[in-house]
Amino acid sequence: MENISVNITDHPQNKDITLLAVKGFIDTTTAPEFEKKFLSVLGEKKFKLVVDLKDVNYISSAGWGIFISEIKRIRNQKGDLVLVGMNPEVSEVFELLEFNTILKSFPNVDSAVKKGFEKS
Amino acid sequence: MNLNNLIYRLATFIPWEPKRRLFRLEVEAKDIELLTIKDFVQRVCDSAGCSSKETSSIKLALDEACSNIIRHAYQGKNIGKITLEIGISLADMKIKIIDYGKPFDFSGIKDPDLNHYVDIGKKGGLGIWLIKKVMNRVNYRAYPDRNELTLYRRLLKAPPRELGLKTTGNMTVSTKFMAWSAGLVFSIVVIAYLLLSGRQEAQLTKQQRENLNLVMQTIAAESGAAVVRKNDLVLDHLIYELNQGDKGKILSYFFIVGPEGKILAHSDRSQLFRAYVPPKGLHLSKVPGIQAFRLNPPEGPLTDVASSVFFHGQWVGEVHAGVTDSAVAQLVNKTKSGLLASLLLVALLGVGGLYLLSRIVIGPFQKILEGVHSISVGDLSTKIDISSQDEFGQLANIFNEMTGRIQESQKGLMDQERMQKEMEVAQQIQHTLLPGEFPQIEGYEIGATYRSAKEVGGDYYDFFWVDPTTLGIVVADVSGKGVPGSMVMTMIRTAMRLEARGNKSASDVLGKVNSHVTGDMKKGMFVTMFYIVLDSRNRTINFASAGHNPMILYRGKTKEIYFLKPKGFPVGIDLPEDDMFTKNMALQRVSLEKNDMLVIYTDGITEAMNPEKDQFGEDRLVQCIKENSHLTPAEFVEKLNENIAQFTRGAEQNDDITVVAIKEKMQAEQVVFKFRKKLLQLVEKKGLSVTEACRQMNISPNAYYRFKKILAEKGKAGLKPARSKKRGLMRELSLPQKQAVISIIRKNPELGPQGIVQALRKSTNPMKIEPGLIGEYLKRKSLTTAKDRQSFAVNEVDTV
Repeated sequence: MENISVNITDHPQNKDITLLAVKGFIDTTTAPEFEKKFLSVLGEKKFKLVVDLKDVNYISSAGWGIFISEIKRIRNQKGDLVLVGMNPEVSEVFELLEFNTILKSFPNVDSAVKKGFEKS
Repeated sequence: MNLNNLIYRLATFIPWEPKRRLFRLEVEAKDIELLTIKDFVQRVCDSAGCSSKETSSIKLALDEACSNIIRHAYQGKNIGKITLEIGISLADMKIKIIDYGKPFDFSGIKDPDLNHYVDIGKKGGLGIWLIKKVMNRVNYRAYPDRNELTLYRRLLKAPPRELGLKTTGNMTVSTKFMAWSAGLVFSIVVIAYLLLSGRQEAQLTKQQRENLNLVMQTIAAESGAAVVRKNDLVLDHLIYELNQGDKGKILSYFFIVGPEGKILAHSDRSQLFRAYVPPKGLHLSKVPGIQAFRLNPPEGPLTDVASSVFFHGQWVGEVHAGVTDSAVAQLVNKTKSGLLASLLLVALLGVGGLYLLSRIVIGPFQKILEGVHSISVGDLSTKIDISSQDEFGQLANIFNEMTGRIQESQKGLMDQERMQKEMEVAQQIQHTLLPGEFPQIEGYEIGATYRSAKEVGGDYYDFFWVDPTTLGIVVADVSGKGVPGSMVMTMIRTAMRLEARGNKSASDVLGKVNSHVTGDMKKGMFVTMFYIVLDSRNRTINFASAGHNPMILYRGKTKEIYFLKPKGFPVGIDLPEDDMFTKNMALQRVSLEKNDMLVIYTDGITEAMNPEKDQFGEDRLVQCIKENSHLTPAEFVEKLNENIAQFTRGAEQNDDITVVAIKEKMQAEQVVFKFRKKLLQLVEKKGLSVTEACRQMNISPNAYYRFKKILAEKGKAGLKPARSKKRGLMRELSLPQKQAVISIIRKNPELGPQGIVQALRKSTNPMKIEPGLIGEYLKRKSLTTAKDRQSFAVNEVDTV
């Protein structure tokens, strides 16, 4: 049963930005799979990450936990993690849990690539 | 915000528990069941009419809670259960999550400090926080045998589906009814008020004036003497009484003026004994009667009601009373508001009463709606509980009856559908098993027909080459129908094709097939089979039967009918001994003459029924064979089909029909002669090598040289094989012969085979039969001993 898939590619124009296109949902059952892929990207010393959630219909706390547990390490490496294309349901939880105070989010990949990695 | 929403919002603050529709789910505490839980929540939320955001967050909370139970309460051991109970009302959702694992210290959980999470890279423990964020109220309680987590969530969106039918906008029938009736009641009140208040105002003013006039007249009359006599005490008392009588406090002043123009008495005592100066516009005529003047002093407009005072017809003074407009207005308003208050009270009571009435009248309607709604989401077990005998009660009864019927018919339909599907599958299998056109086989003509019944029967027929000149034909009837029957057919077909190759013995092949399939067949299932092997080279036919109906042989020359039924158990029966099947199976041989016909069939023919339930029967089959023996087998089976169709007159065919008819095209000797001639021609005229010709004709070169020698020695005639003596003789008694034998046994049971032969010779219709044949027949019928025959003769009910 394929409940999650993560497609990892380099951004065609900005090679130092890595795209993680996620499909499916992230809950307790699929979080380990996602975490494995996510950590493998960090293992390759890629720290400018755009996570595309446009095909994700659901993220539970297990999924959110993965993002915020690694964000410090990413930022220490002068990278960042930005979320794009959250659907209204996912976005509501994102705001409800106040993750919008920690993570940046953008409507689509292009705007994330343009603005997501400016020095703030 | 519409009215409904307002009502729902208000309802959330009402302390009593609303009536909730309950949904329940029990699952194993396993990760995989989280999907089931999500599906369940989705369905409940759909049913409650939640928005997708609401649904998503409720799902999330439940997912978190159940994940925690799996991870922590059951410690990931995958044992235990989680029970979900969700109750939905108009305004909220109450979710109870019950587990039977380790309790957990809910109060110890604090809201997480996200920055701390980021700092130390922590990722767990967000679940409870999330639940608290998403839910309006969260309760956790550990009982000795279970833990209960109760979550409340207010539903902001009005749940239209809960209320079923949408009427105007989002209004329900009861809201609409209440809105209309409240509107109506209040309009009535307003109209009543307008009508009543106007009239009351006029009445009140009139009454006031009349009262005042009366009082003034009285005072004018009574004060005359006192004015003349300057009796201040009496005048003062009059003023006092007037004050007392002025209950509405509409008089601003009241005074009496004496003949000298001095104020003799006044409601305001400071004015006493002053000279009265009439204000502008007041010219009191010295005539009897009440006169009124509109004055407009700075304190506000008023009416001065005055009268001249006479004593013994002599004018002696005047009395004045001031009625201020504002005081009158105040009085009127007071009365009006009293009226309004009582009307409003009536209105409120009316609306309240209507509300109660609507609950009583529309309550059952809501119940019915809920019932209809449950059905619309597929719960056919819904029953509406309305016991009243009115139209609603009737409707509920009809509804309950209807759901019952739907449930029944749905079940029936499902069964039927399943059966139908199964039948279709079986039919497909069966059709793929059927062979195509019969192949050409030297010297024989074969015709076959197969017609499947509407519901798949168990017939099966097949043919295959045993070797290049020998054809095997099998006709079978499987006892089971449907898919199991088709599976058996498939097995039999495979086994037959496997075993028949190279084996010319029909009984041997059937024996082997039986040993292949018996173990794999369900108990109680069996197959009757008739297997016939046509050897075109040696012009012999051998056959065996596994409990199948007899093959019919028609002798064209003598017009005799034989039922050929070699012994044999049906295939697939669990016999007590392994070799019993083969031991019991007989192999028979037959050779055909010109105009002879063999007919193999299944009981679908003899049991074909007409609308009166009569069966086609063996007699009609035999009759048909006798009448149509001149036809080719293909034409014959066609004719037989026609006859059956005529007989059944369109009655539904309830079993498969299979017929195979075989005829000898030419004399067996001629076929052999033709074959030999062809072989020699191949070499001599076509110039083929002996080896090649022999290979083509599938014969050994030795045989070729033998034929060549015969041709050289005896010419063409020598190639014709000698006519076998036995050819044409049937190792079986014909039907009339059997009948004759039986009648002799009936008369003289003591006669043995020899005796019967003698008796037959002497009979009125003399017959010549070999004693051996009769012996065989007696053996088969278990009439070998005189004792057997005697008991048979006594027992009338036996046939040939």
